Amino acid sequence: MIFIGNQQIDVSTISSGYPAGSVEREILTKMNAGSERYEYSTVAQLQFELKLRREIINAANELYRSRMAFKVFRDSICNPRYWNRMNDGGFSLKEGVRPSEAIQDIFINSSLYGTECATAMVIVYYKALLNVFPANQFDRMFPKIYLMNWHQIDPLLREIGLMRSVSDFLPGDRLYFMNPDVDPTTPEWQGENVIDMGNGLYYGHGIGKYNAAVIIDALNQNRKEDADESAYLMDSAGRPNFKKFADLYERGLAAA
Amino acid sequence: MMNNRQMVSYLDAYKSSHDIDQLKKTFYSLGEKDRKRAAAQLNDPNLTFPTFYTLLPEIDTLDLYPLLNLRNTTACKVCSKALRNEVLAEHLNTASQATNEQNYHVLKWMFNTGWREDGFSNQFDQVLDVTTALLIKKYKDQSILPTVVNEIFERNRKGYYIHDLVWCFYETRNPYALKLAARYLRSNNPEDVKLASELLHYTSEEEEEIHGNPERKYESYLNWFQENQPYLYFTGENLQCSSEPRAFKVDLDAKYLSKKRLSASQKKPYSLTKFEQEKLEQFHQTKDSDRKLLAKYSKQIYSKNPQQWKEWMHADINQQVKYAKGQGREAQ
Repeated sequence: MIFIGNQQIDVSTISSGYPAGSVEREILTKMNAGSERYEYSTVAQLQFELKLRREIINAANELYRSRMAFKVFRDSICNPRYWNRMNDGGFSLKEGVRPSEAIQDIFINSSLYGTECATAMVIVYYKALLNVFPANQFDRMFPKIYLMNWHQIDPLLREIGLMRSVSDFLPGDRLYFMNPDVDPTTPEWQGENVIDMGNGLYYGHGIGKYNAAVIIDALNQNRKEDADESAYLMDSAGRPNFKKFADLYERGLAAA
Repeated sequence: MMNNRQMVSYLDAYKSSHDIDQLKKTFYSLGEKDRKRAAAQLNDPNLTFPTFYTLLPEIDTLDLYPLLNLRNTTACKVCSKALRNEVLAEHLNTASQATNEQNYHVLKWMFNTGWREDGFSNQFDQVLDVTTALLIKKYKDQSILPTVVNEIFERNRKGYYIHDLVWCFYETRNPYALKLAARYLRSNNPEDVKLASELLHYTSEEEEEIHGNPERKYESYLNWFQENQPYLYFTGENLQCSSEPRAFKVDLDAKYLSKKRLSASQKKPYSLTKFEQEKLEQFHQTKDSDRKLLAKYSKQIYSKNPQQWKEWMHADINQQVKYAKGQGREAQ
């Protein structure tokens, strides 16, 4: 159910603004049918969330099509023109470099980069925000960037690192497939971070874009010898604080 | 009686008095002249794993694999798996297969003698991480936990990669691990305190009014741990899926019913009577904050006076809440 200013809305009034079969319509349908109460102050706030969710999916598709390699932290690589590779395998933005250009470079010179699935998700979020916000505002919002799974997240993005129990999975959510019986010699298969791409598909860096059964099967292929527990999709999701970003977006527009 | 000096292998002694390059050159020269003698030095029971690991390229060039003992071929296999080194794995195809028990002893040798040189190289550390994971996940060896915790904090101070070790730490599925990490809450090093708070998921909710005093923070955590340890269960969360993993959560149902869990990793740790099922149904209908209060109160009253606890348990849920809140005020 969707509420704007404490009033439940007729979802068709919003969804008619989006093409049939679009991801926005899928999100609205799920929100409307879901058991959770989705509350917004204004229509613009809801529309911003739809826009950012779409860009999360677009950014995930861009990364999927890129040549960024899957590498464990110990072997991670990055373009030294924009990033310093740190001892822990993370990438720290170089001094004097524009954050927006450094994020863009991951998609332009993708073959110079390699990391694991969680950091890839963080990259997806930065790119999605860069697709939504003007580069100058993006640079002001994120003057320092450290790409290292969920460990050194910028305070503005704190919520993407937190897995909260949710009633409905929505396209653009960050989800996690857990592999409890993983082979101890391949800890990178302990689970897979994915973006819900809509239509029952998920994108995970290193695995690709598939339905849940294929991802679970890939994880199950990397279990220990005497495994008795299958990999599974956790019932929680990581979501950016859409309302906070909507507010920043509005303020950016007002200042322009 | 043997003293420490006698227990050091020739190659380890040489390594401690020369640099690595000299060790490698000297060993290689020996191997060129006498492969059997070189292999015998590697097979010395007192050899440490870091020295063996250092000489892996020379072992390969001299093709000493057929002359290595079971300990060393098994260690090579672990290295090949950890480093995804298929060439090394092929060399070991015909080597004897260690039994599970032999494997375990080799892993312990790698672990016990390996940690002293943690940080030697990225790849070496990766082998140590896999060794640790095998000991914990496959052989359920919890005795290594203190070393693992120590190394997590050591590496963190140097800015090195810790996530696989943290994963091993959680995968012990043993709440005792939390107690070991809690010691770092009173460290003088702010990095230690920050990491300990993260590993323990020690949020402001649990901290209450500690005001950053390290000793009080530690004591407060221990109090929390003592109260909740019998009811902790393993969630599987780790740093790969969450920035603030909560690897252990309190089973509020168990705490409310005063049913201790036999193990943190058990899925269904206890059976319920009809009465208990009914109580839980009511319990689940209360607010989050009331559930926490009821569970805490139940634990307290059960410890002090089991008879009074029985009477309280038979009261209506709203009465229970009222009583627990009343007691809470009295306690303040």
